[in-house]
Amino acid sequence: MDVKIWTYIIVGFTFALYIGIAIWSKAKSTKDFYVAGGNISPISNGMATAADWMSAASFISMAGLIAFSGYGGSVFLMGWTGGYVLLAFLVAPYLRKYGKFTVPEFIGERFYSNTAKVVAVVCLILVSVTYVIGQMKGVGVAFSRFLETDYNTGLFIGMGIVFFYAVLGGMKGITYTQIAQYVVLIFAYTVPAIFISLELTGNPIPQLGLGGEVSDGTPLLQKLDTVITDLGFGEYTTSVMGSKLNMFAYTLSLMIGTAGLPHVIIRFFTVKKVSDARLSAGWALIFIAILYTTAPAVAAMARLNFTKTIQTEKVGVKAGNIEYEKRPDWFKNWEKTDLLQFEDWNGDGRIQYYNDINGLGNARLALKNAEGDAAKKKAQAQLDEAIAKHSETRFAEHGWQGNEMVNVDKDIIVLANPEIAKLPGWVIALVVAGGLAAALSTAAGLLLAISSSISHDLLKGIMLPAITEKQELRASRVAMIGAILLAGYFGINPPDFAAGTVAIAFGLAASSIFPVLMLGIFSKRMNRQGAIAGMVAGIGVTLLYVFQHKGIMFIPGTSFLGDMEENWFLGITPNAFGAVGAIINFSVALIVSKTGKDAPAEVQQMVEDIRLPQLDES
Amino acid sequence: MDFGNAAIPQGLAVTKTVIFYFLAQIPMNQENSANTGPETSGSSGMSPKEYWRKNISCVLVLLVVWFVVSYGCGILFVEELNSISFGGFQLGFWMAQQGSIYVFVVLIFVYVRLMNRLDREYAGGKGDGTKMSTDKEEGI
Repeated sequence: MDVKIWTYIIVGFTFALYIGIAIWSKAKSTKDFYVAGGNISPISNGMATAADWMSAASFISMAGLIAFSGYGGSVFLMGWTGGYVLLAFLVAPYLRKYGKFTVPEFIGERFYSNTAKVVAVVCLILVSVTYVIGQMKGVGVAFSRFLETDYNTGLFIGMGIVFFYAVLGGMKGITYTQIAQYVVLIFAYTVPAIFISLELTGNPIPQLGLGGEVSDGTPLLQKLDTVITDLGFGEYTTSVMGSKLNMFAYTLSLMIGTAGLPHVIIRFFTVKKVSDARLSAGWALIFIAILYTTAPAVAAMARLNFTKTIQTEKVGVKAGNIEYEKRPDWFKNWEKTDLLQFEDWNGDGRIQYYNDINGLGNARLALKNAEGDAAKKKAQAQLDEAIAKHSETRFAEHGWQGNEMVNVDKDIIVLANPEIAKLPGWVIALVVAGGLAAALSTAAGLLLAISSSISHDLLKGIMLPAITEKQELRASRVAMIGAILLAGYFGINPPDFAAGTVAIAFGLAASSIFPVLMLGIFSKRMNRQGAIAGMVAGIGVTLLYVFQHKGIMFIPGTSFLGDMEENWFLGITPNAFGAVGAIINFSVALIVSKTGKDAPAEVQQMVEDIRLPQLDES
Repeated sequence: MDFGNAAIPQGLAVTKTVIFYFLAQIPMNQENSANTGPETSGSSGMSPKEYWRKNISCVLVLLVVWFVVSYGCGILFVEELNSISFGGFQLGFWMAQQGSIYVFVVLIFVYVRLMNRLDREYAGGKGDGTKMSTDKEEGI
């Protein structure tokens, strides 16, 4: 059967399932809408948290990022799992004990200040909107690429599905759909991985296959190191990302960002008691670890497969490179999407893909695309320089004239993997459904965090405290509709930075929400002045750092410092800056808090209470 | 290889010093405002203050492990560990991409067990079967 028909069947089936769940789990009270009634079991909540957490970035992009950065990609693996340890130890039990509906609500009450609450709402919306844009874009791309619909049509279908279960069911509907979505996505991720591991190493468990041997008896990782260093790339198992300090800061930023993400924290409000919150963090991490320990295996195996497809024999021998006309079908399919692009610079009809450190291929491409005499002249000068440098490399001796794979999009690693491994059509369709499940489940969680902070914190909490529960429930549905439309708008008009948004959302959460929660729980005397100043300073400095390197509101040309290593503070990339923002937040809060009185006695009492275990409620 | 083995305790020692510094700060904070609640409750029970102190030390010890497996083994001392091979892996690389994740899972479940036990000890002092939530009975 055709891949497209399979995709319609599998995606259609999963969507029907989500809608069925929505009808069955309609929210009847605000408690249903905000915290799914508060009686979800730890395992179910763990599964829902895993789906909530693993977004299009985890499912589609992460393995590709690791594949092309090797050891340096470990920051994503450790950062996005180690954060759960912090969440379990330092955040989830205490906020569950507090026992209300939203994160800003806790911050407002703990710091006895509506200003603190509003600042927290602003931080939450900044974090969640940045995050949701990437998800909406993922939905649109998946539809347009695999079902050949228009990008916008795909986006509208995705919005419609989320609309149905999020508006109707609130957190209750989202929880049960997320459980279904977890099952779909984990199945879709592991099935191709098992096949590929089996084919390459003979071991069906990818985590073990990563340490297994390829057909010629050498260990897979050693083989990969040899193959790619021959092509001038850095060693897979040792290449760092930036510097070690950058990796340290990046990992820390992702970890504390994880522990400060409102849409993840509110998931722990849905379990019955404090001990369940701790346990469900453990289950969540187990479910997440299944994907996260598979991803590095997929990454290494796909990198080897991909490289060997092009470089079939020894480097330097003419027949060592595949003839363009004999390229495999998946290569042709992905060329249509421009995610793979080839240019035959040396005109030998074969593909040379290598680490072109002098940028010869790029210089040729720049000249090809240059318009106007001045631009052409400049491009020619750069090309001449690149040619001179290239002529001294060993690749010039082989007659190579620049890297001919002018674009290899990292996302194809997961998406094209089943095709590269020649898996049947239904597996490819499954991967599409999995990617959609990952994007939709995360989008729904984020939308709930946004809408509840508006209807519960701003409307009920500050503006109209007198409204009844029924009115608040209606308001929360309206806020949800508003949030979906906003996310859809950004999905249709994605800002330029859409690709890098997820990492930045973590930086923002790390520098604003995580520190204020820590101060609120672990320092009884911390006052509102300190908390507000800390949040503003932390998120402000982080945003400024991102903007000064990537442009104000990411508009190209408005950055006042280029995004390059010399301009980075201690070599820390903008994506990794959240850790520094968090340190600034803590320091500012501690200093500013000295200017005011300690938190009042009743607030200190409240902190005492959330620290103590909840003894049998029933 | 020798260096690799020496690096772990070294990193551990540094982390410990840092963490114990903060550990020393916390009880002080606690004493200053301990007058908001009674010191002990019930005859044989654990005081809220003691419960919190035990909670913090449990978390800190586990966080030391968390730090050592990820930042220590996965980043700071990865080269040293890479000189040790097992199966088809170099140890440092394996810790960064696999091992640390397994340890994280174990850590949370250890924490769950320790805290459940601590909760029971705390509740034990309150007399069996008393339906209570701490804020109501001993709060203000």
